[in-house]
Amino acid sequence: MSAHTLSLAEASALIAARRLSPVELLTDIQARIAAVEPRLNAFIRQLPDAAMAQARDAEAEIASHGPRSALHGIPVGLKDIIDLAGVPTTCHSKQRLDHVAAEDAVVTARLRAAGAVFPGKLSTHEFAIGGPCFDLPFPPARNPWNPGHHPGGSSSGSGAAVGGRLLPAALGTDTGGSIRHPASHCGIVGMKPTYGLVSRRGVFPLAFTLDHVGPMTRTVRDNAMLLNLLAGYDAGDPGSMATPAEDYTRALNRGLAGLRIGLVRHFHETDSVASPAVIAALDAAARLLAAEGATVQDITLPKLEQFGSVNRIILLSEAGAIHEHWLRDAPGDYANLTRRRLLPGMFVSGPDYVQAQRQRRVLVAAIDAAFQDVDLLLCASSMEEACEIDDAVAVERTYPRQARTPFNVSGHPAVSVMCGVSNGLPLGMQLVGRNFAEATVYRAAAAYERAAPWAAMAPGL
Amino acid sequence: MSNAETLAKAAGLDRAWRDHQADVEEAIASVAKLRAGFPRITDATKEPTPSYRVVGPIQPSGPSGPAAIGPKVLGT
Repeated sequence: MSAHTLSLAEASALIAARRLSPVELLTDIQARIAAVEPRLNAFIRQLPDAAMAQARDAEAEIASHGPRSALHGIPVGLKDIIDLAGVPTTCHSKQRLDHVAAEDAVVTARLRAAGAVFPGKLSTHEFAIGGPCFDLPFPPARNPWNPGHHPGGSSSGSGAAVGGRLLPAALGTDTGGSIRHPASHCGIVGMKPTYGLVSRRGVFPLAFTLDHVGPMTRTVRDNAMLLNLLAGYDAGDPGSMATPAEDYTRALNRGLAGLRIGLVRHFHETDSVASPAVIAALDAAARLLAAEGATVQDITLPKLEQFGSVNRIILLSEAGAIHEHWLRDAPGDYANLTRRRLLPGMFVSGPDYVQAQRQRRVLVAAIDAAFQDVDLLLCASSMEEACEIDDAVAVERTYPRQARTPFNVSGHPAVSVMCGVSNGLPLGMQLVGRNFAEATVYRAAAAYERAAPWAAMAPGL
Repeated sequence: MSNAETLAKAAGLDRAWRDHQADVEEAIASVAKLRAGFPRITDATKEPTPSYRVVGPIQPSGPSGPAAIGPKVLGT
């Protein structure tokens, strides 16, 4: 078996047992990147020499002292809005080509302290909001299951690199679904943790009250292992919450017995009617979860449109505040699509923003009330499989046709896992938990992953 | 001057109006649609999320708690 096909957990175990060295792992991964990257454009910047030096250091330290952590010697990609000291954080934008990060983002520093290796910075939608654009200094990432298709976004390169077996793990960010969208389209596991669990300091903001940083991996266990290292209070992040450290892998093997799951059927059957394949996949997933021991019942939340509108008003206002100087002085320096996405924020009124934040409280209360009756929510992610990347109309349509924004509005933890295949492309579903109940979300996702056939599938690159 | 141009200039978007007028007009229309996408709360007592809150004393809570990490420990 080639090392690039190993999961994070498998590679970590082999490294700890001295049966695989970080240099061997990175060498194989770099060969995979060389072979596949020209078709995927997952990277904005590769860092082959720096990564190899990190791998050599890891190899020497592990040989003499053993691994520092489960991530020691493991390559992890960073979405290029996350700072890596000494390396440009371009945000995939012409506006930031020369911006070199002075220091690591907190999440980068945590991974560095754990001994992770950084092979490069990964593609994103411009400033994590644009879309797949062809008028930027870097091309858009493509779907590893079919490079003619959209990989989802905005953490596009993270999804493409992990799904395409170029990297075992990557970090993404999620403001309106940007971890879970590429996770769904690339057939991987993407976790948007509870708001405040993972520091955002050193990550270029899109919308302060909606931004999350989270792990993207090929398996649920890998995801939980990575979150173990990312989670933690940061006094420098105003949204950070102090919570007790916990091991998110602890419940992975407990199965589903006793768990109550609420299927939010109206999201994909009436609010935004999904494709027949997505509807069938969600029905099958609900049946499988019930067969594995969960109690599954339909549950009703406010309509998707309300969550979507509140999310967009808040996101556009906060992004407008961040971008207004560029929108006023250099609007032509954005990609056309990014400019069109950002400009509405300049026309949201103060009362609109406050009304959206007031309605947000109502929507959050509705989700919290649902969690009085169930332990988890099950719902759609995207309403269809990935569209063709050069079909601008279809790309535009994909962004509102999803059920991810409710949990940016609410802050609840939500993971996307693969739940089917349609036209050769993966489908995803979401499992959502109470605030800071990531371990329960992972528990259910792992049980589903074991029972379903999707984990054995891989793109044919 | 059209309404759209007035709004654009009030927002300081003179350059965008000059060079990307269609984008500005589309932006104005899209916000109008979003504005109607959720109920407007009329009860004056309902506060937005997140509520404004001053920084309060952080209680020490053991080795992994804020007392061990954050610099602003006001309580003892």
